[in-house]
Amino acid sequence: MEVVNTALNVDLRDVRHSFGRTEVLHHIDMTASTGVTGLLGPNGAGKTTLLRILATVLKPKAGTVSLLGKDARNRHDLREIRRDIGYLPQQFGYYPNFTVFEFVEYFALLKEMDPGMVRPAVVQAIERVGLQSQARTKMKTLSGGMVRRVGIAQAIVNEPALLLLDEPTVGLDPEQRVLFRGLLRDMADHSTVFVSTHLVEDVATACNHVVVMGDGRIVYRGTPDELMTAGNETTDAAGDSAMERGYSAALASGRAVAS
Amino acid sequence: MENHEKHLDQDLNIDLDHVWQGIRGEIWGKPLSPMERITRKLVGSAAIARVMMTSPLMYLAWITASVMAIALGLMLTVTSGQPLVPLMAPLLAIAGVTYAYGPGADSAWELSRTMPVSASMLLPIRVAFIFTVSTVFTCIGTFFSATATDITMLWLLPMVALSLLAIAIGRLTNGSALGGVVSGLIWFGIVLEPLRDQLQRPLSQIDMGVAVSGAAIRSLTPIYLLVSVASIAVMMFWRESDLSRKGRLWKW
Repeated sequence: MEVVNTALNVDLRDVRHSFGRTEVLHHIDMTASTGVTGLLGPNGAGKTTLLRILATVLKPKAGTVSLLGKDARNRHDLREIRRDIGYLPQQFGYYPNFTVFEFVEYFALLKEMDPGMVRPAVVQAIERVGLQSQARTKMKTLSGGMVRRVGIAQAIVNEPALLLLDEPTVGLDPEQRVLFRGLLRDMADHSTVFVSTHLVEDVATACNHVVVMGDGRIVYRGTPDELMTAGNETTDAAGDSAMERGYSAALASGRAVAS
Repeated sequence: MENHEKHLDQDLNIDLDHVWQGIRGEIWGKPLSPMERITRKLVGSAAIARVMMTSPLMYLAWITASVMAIALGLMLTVTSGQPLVPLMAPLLAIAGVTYAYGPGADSAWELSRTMPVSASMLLPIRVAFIFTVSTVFTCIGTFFSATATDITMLWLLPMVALSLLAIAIGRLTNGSALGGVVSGLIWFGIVLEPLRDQLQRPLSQIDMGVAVSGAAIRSLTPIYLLVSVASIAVMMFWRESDLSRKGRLWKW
């Protein structure tokens, strides 16, 4: 996979966040340009919090967040940034009485797309996730996997420059997962994509970069091949595949450094 | 046939895929209602027009609740004369609607918070629209009962005016929740001001009816109308400044 654009679409400097007294992100420094970055980590590692900061849902307690070359703290810039973001939350909520088309169209309008371009874009997004035959179906009648695909459709409808997907493959069947990875590879040509996942095979097949998080810190960053190589070189880490062993080893070394 | 289409595509420089997607979009989506077309022109935003048009659709319960509240208000006014319903209704409505459209119950709240059209702007827009719809219902009710006119004055007119004010402040502050808080405080002020002379008395002896009597509210009707008009003007001004910032001409 060739990365064609080297502009820094994400630039986080010393980002910290806490909920009450519990610090959930510690001194995160991260940059990303065009391509797909897989966020791996156990539950509670801080992946969702990091994605929510990137999605401008959360303001970090400290540090600077620059997205798409703009300062996320500046109100005018924030509006510009949000026009170019696609986000699929972990807890994807929807309006059950909307049809698939109405739901994607609703968020396309909220993203301030040109009204004349909205309907063709909605059709394209729905087709890209393979839901064309459900376009006029009410959301409440869809299966969990289909709802997830609607979530992906609303995220990509504006061809975002920054696409943030929190566990997008949950509930997808194997065929849909393969289609989804193809979609990610397409998006990687012109977007900066972050995918949070527990599935190392998603990372192995669709990501250019891997970031492993543990206890609110980035404990590893590299490419899927490098993580796999690290796994091959490790004999005592848990995991069935080289990448799983690499992931376990990265987490273990991160914990050792933190303690 | 396919080759023929490709030739046409190349000769005329037309993106046929895009054309077909547009046609499918028209088939899959609902046709734009005349009401939504008018709203788009009035507010100058397709997004806000859609939010306004879909709010009652999403929360039909709120229309039902408004009708129920009007019916209950009518009944209490006629039977007991107690002012508690008109006194508390606006605040209960603000709290209820805030819950319904806020993180408590809006299932897509998190997603809405990442939109350029601020989620906290959507709330007062929906509130104002729903109460405007309720006002229309109540006005229809006035044809059947003179008491309904009082209910309109005591509750719905102040509510619509204060909702518009909340939107105006929200627009000026670019989506802050400040508008809702200010509107709530103003309602408290309106309620408490006529009770100023009675505040030294024990609570049980305070005649709250003075605060929300038909006469008291009627005396404020011009102010409510003025606030409504001024708020709409502020909203228009806000749009103008926003457009001019982008170097575009103001158009109505």
